[in-house]
Amino acid sequence: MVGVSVSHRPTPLASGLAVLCCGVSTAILAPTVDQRLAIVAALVGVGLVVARGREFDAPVPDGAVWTAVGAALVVAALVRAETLVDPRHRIAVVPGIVGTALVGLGVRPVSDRFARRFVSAGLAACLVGVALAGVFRAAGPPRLLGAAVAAVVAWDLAEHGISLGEQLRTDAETRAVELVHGAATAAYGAVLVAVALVLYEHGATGLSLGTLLLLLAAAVTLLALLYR
Amino acid sequence: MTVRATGRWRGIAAVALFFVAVGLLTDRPATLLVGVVGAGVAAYPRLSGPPTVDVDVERRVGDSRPARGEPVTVTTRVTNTGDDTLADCRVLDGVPPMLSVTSGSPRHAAVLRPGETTAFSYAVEADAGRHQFDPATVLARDITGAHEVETTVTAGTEIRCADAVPDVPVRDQPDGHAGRLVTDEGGSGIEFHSVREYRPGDPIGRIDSKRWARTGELTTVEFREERPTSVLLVVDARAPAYRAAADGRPNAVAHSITGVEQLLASLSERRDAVGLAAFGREPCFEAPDVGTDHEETLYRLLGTHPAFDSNPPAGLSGGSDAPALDRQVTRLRKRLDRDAQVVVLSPLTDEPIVAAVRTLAAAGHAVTVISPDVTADGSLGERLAARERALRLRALRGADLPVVDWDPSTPLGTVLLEPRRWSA
Repeated sequence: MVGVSVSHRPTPLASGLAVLCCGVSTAILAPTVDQRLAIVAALVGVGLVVARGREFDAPVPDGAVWTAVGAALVVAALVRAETLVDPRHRIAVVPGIVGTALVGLGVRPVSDRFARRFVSAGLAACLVGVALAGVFRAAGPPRLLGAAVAAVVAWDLAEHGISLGEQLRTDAETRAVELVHGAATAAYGAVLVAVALVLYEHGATGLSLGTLLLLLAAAVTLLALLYR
Repeated sequence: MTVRATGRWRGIAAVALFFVAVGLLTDRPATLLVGVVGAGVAAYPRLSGPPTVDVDVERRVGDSRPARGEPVTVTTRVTNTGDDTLADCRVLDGVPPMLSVTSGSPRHAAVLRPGETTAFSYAVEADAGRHQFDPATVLARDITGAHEVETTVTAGTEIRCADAVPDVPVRDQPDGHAGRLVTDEGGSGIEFHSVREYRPGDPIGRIDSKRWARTGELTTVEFREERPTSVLLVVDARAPAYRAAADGRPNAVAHSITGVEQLLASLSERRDAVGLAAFGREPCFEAPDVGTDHEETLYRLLGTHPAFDSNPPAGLSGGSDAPALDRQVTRLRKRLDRDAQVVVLSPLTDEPIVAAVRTLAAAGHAVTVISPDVTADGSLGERLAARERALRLRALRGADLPVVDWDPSTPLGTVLLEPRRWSA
């Protein structure tokens, strides 16, 4: 690759975990075997693409052929997901696979400058999948929440890996920091899911649209204040 | 210590807004619920503030006086002496710019609880010279990564590579306190210069007694005066001088500083008065003098003065705050003795430094330019820069100034210190 400095690539552990979290996010939304097969195929494919050109202690399939195989696997997974019989199964899987591929391209990275853009685009794709699944009732609240949090954790890990790669390069020992950072975000996400589910179980369902609009206005104000 | 927001969570509130909007428009409470989680994520970076960083850095060098080319293991230990847990503590050790890391990584990240220590080691290949470690840079982020504290921690460590000092040729000259620069001026010395009319106050030993006996006329014999040379080494350390042949290679300022160290060793051995100055982000001037204490001062300046930092001034803060070069030259001229010689070490990357050299020469100083060559032969731009530098060298030589085109891969030899180069 021209213009990609190998030494400043995102750290391998965070990159791998980020791609994995994307897969988990999609898998949470998609419970059937057919869907999960497509997701696993996509994960293996993205893994092969991301691993290209990195140095590992263990022998890892490396080389242009394997990259091509990985890309082909991702495309095959997409085609498989696109041809699922139930349209609700399709919408739950396709954006997730696209998101996984985008995050993979971000942590590979295809381009140093746009690494973060790719990762953000991956997060957006995964979240669109969550939203579609919610709109078409492809999954219940616990699954939606879990998938959304997993996608955010994936994005967080990928961005963290990119920043570590930029500042410390890939050959530095950074695994402990990556794991602690990822675990903290995941734990916070789990707490959020639990709180949201408790809210949902205890009465948030019976609200009128007017009350909801009021809540929305309050939430927007809160967010605006937070981002001042 | 710099505290900054990394901005990595910026825009995450859009996730919350997106789900709330979709949930409301499609009347799906479950999607609205995801918006609640989104709001929680948006609040996440607010939960923690920038950490207070209190760390100690200790460096152990396997062999602080290695032979040239020998690998030296450096072990750096970082201890959290503060009360906060540093969830994401990144350390970039200040490897001396002229040394290359051969194995391991001088960068490390660790989770440090209060009192905890982390260690990492790497090997550098010793090169000729005296190499001082730069302060280690510590970047500490909070657990969310929203805030980053950058600070530097100094641990004075150095590696001296013994065979660094160039062999100084023994000069044939009558020893004593007279210097090795034989001037064309009359005075006390050894070599006959002239005979002149006696002036009251002339030493009695220099009265030409034979002539007085013969004619009764008082005359004084003058000898060619011998003075110690006084040399000022000037390093061009302005932002444009921080050029390197390639990414990761030492920049011209680092080469110049190595050159100065070699010259210092050589000059002080000959009991010449040596001074040190820099054009750069902060003016630096130490008038020429002799003696061990003075020498130590010069080495300390080289190691600690901000002007000799081997890292380029960061962006605007370094580039624009620095005093203009012509003002620095004027100040240097005011403080420097008229007969001091000046050696300018500069990669000659721009025109102002050429003008500065000419100004110094016009002011009556004998100026020599030593120019470490950091140009490359790759892209069109690199070739153009090399060509421009060659033209500058030619312009200076055309003005009758000795210019040494120094390829930094070879040690700056004692050839430079050949007496004829210094003769006024």
